[in-house]
Amino acid sequence: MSMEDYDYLFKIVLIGNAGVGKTCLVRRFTQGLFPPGQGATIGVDFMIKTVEIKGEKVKLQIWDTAGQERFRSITQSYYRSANALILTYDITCEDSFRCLPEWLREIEQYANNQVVTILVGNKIDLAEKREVLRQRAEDFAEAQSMLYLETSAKESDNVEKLFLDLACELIREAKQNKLDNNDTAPMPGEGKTISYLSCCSLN
Amino acid sequence: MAAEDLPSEFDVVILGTGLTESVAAAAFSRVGQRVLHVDRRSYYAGNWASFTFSGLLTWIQQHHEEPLPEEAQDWSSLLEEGEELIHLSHSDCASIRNLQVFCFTSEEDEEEEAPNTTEEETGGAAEDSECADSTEEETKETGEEEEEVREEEEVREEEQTTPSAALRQSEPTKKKISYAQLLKEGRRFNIDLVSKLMYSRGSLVDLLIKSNVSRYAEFKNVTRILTYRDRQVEQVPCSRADVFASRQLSVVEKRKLMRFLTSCVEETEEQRAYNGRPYLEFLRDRQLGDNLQHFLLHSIAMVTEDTPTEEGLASTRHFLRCLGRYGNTPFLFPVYGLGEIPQCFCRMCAVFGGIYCLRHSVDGVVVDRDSNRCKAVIDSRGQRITCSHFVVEEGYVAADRKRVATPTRFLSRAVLITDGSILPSDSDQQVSMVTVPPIAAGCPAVKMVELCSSTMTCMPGTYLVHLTCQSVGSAYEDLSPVVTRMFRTPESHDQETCPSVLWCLYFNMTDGSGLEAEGHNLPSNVYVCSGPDGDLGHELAIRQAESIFQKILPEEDFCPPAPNPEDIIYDGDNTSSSAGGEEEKEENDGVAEEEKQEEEKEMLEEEKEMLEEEKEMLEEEKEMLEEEKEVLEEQNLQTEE
Amino acid sequence: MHGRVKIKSTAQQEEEKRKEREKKLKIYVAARDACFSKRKEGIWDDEALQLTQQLLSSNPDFATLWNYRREILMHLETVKDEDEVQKIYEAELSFLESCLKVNPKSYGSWHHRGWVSARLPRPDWARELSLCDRCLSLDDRNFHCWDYRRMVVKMSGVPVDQELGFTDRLIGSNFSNYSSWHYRSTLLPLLHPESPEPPSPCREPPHSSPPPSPQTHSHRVCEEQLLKEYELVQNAFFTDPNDQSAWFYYRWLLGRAEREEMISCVYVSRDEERVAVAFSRPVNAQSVGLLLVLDGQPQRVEWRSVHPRFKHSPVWICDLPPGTISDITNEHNLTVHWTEKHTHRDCALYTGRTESWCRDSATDQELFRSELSVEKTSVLQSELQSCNQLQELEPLNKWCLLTIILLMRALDPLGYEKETLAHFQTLKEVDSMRSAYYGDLCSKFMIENTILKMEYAEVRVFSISDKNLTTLCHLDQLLLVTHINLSSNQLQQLPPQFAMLQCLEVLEADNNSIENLEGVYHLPKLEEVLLKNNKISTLADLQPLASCPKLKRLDLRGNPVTQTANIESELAELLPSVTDLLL
Repeated sequence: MSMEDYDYLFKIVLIGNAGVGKTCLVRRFTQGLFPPGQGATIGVDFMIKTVEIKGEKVKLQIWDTAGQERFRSITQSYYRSANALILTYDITCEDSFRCLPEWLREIEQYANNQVVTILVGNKIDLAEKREVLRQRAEDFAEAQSMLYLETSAKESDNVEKLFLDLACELIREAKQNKLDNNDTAPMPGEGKTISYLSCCSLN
Repeated sequence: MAAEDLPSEFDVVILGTGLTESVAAAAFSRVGQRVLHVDRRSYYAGNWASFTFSGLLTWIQQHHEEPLPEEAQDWSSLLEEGEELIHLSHSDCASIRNLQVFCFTSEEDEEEEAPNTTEEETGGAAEDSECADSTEEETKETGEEEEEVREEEEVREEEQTTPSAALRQSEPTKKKISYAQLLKEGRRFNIDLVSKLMYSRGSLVDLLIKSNVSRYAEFKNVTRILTYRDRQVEQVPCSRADVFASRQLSVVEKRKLMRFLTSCVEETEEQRAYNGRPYLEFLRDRQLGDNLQHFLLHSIAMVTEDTPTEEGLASTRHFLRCLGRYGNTPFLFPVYGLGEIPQCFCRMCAVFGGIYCLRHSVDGVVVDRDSNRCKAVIDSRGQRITCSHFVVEEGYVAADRKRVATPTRFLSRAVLITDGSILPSDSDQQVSMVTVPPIAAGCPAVKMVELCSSTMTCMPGTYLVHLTCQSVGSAYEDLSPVVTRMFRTPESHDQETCPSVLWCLYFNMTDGSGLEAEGHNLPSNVYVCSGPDGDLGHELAIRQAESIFQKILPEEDFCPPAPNPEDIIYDGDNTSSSAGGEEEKEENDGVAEEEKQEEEKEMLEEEKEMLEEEKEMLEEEKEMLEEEKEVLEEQNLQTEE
Repeated sequence: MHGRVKIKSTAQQEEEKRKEREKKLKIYVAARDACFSKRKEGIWDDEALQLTQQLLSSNPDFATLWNYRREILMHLETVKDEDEVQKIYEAELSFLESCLKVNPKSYGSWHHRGWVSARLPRPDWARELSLCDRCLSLDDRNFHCWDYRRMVVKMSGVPVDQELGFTDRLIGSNFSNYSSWHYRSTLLPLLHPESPEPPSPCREPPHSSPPPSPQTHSHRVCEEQLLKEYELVQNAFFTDPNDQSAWFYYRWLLGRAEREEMISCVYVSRDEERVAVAFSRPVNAQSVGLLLVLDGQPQRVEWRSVHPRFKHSPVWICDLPPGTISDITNEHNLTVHWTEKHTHRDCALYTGRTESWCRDSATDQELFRSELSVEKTSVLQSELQSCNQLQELEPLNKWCLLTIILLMRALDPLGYEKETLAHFQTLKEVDSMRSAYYGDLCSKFMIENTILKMEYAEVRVFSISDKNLTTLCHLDQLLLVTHINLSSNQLQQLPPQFAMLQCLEVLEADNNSIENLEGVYHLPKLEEVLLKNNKISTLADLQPLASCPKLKRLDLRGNPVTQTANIESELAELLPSVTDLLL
């Protein structure tokens, strides 16, 4: 237990075709639930889970696409301040794999240069329907210098590992670039109330 | 990324993803309306968009191309008895005109060239050839032509080494960024089509905060306000710290300025006496002197010489209210550019179930003849989609159906990529708002925003400069005189110290403020949103979105805060999302009685702790003495009584 | 409407929060108990570090735990090698950083940080400085941080000019900050000391030269720098004339040099066989090594202050052994040595004279060119001009008025007397809360002016009637006065300091509100006391007069005391020497 909320806060963003199980991965990880029920994730911007890694509290803010991928209409701003990207496809759906280069183009265009990207093949519980061979995906990931993992949100295979691995990697990077992280942009909502004109008369 | 079919029934269909439409979309979706939000373009935000460098080049090209002839498809088979179709426009190119592009930097890197070839002067000889017909020029061609001109110039320079050239050689030669580099680093640019700033207490910032949409973006302070005066760029002191630090103002001016600003805050009889008379007159009568008068009129109130006093004072007050909330100036700017803002609202709409579809348009509006209400829309693929309300950006509405001010008002815009700040300072990461009063009678006042690379809108080593004014002539006619004066271009003279323009774009855009609120020849449940206006803030767009929302849902709250993820109840679970299962169990085991006892015990212990702490206080007290010494020292300074 | 998000009710949220809090409290209490028991058992292990860390991160003001933590760390120092210790302390610093993030004003955290920094084998002072800068940029008045920063600067030997740059930055971002201005006032004399020969212009000390040591500096700043500072501070008070901190700094800048420590006057009286000595500042004569030499012979005398109330006093007296100087035909040479300060003053008592003195007059010393001065008149004159300019714009600004008064006094106290009085009048009106203070200050200036006038006239009569005096001061300057006229003022008492008027013969103080005569005490020459229309109400109030042996004439008309029963006989008993009593 620590009274302090966290030592690190990372924003993780999921992308990939509709129906590959992005939301299931998130809810499996953050809530331990599957299936996540019929009611979609309306109103859910992101999910939070705090994990502990080597004694440090890491708060993971996991963002989902909000369905904008359905008609290939994800906003650029979605990628902007992500620390990590989880690029997901469905191993039982060749099409979802073939779309990956398109997704990579978006990443290159809009995401931060230092973003950590991991390729995830989901639905390994449906091994009998596999359309994308593991080796093919591994090769692809390696060529794009991404990490690679196969998961099952349903069976909870590798889901924990996926996020913990990412967290470790992000901590490692954060420690390397510690100095760059001190940038503090003002956020609406936390405005200071300094009166600039005079000590007493304004505001 | 397979495309599926769209659902065929919505509460609200919105066409266009500009700021107004996006805010409206978010507001509708937030209160449970089923929203379909589409845009004909392949990018978000329409005329509010920002582009990477190559994205902008594509955009320019699109606007150079002849618009495809609009062939109205025959959707009559989709209509029912008593219905008619209002066709929507395919092309909104009409809102952009007079595009002109210039490239003043070399095409390629020149690694082999001698270090003294500072390609700073690109020569006046090329002026004519460059300006002529540049509308039709491919940017690349401009670059090539430029290259040749530059080489000629070099020869000249070598022959007669002018004193200034010699001087320049002695300085460490900064290599000018080439066009190739701009292209290569193109994704580091986020070039806005509109240039606005966010007043830190303006309606946009208030809405971002209220709705929690602010969490989708980051913002930077505008760090300084500049003005152009007597052929010089000066910093306008506006905050207390600025006034204190200003070197241009005498101490008496400092006092007068501070006093004036303080006295503005409240409305007085004295001020009311000037209602209807020019603000300039009011300022003159305050005997502030030319310096302060200029600052107050052009940079703080940002009004013209004939603006009435009450209006001038109102803008001054707005400026002052916004000052100091987040920084030293009243303005914020979104990191990655203004194009982010509409997208953020779209994200919120999507989070609450709104469906998004770019590259998808609405071809026509199905109107019920009897009620003159829109029943459905026909999308560009010929799908009939039922809706109760239709919100549309004005660009899609044919000219004969909308009411706009005549003659059509335009904004003149220029976008420059430069190699230095117009007022270099200790930091090269300044975000500057620059007011340029009319440089001659009849010329428009120009608002200029200079962005540095940390706003993520331009590559390191460059600045992105936006100029905006109400059109008098074409954008080039309106703005190039200002550009020539304040920057080094082939047309400028003796501007050794000014930053060079590497690349620039001029264009005109329809002024959204020309659209009338009412009176369009459209069904009553079709709502038209205007494009960007010329004001610095975002008041018009937010006001418009809110008023559309209130027309449709007068009882509902406009963009209430999105809930925290922790507070949302998910289907099929009643537990909190943060607590794990095991801990939950433990909690449930606790009997109320037991809890009570526990609490009492705790209180006793808390007391014990306090005693302990008291003991420690002694130690502290010792240290306090030291502090007190410090205080005394300070008082020493204060008084020698 | 469908599609609405289901949100927990406020009650649900509250309940969750309550549970959360409860859970935290439970953990907190358990950890705290564990800590206490461990400490009792003298266990200094990693677990204890963990536990205290948990607790302190939620409550950094828990001093006991910091102490325990220090014990543990000190223990670890003895069992680990240097590298390990370095690591432990570095971890400690980053832990402290998180504590400070939560509460940047926690005394415990800052204090502990100071302790850790001092023990860190290889400290990184630059990092500490930047931490302070970050904290101060959030709150430039964070006292604890200022304290800690001072320590860091001292330990790491940050160059003075760099520190001055630091104050530049702070003042630039917000000049309403005493701490920054004050810090500046301590740095400037080090960086730009007043040059030893006043006429030579000050040069920036070359960067290679070692920083001036604190021992050699005066508190003054060379003129060139001073002018820059005037400009800086004027920018501040013109921008915001209601900001006190700038005005205080301005007054510090204008502040005069410290007065030289010296014996300002030696007075000897043949009749009383008494010596009185006045010093430039209050001293304790019994402990400063005061030596009286009479005609070459050191004397064993007993120094006493003029009133038993004073341990420190600017005036001390002693009685010579009976008969040593009583013969009027003898000439005597007297020297008083202030051995501690290696200074002395001679005084010759010539034949036929009953008294003699030797002194520097107030006019010689330019004593009352006030709290300000030593600067060239031209500089002060131009400062006065800018203040007048500001006053025109802000006629009711008290700080400006007060500064103008001080500048006028520095320039020409007598010449500006009229303006000064007028400004005081305005001050009392615009700042009525402090009108008593202004009254006292004005009294002080009027007394100073009167002293100057008296000295120019070379008389021993001090007359300051009808000037609204509310208080008396500078009484040490009146050691030689024989006749004082304080009539028609607003005095309420003759304070113990009044006993410094060792030569006083006539005291006129009619028409005041005097109720207390404490200072009319052992005045050996006092003959006449006129106290008509005052507020002396009891016989006891008159008691001090009994110590004045030569008192003959006393006017008490219009005092409540005259209504006392048997007043005449009572007085005759109390003051037997008085022959001329008016009631």
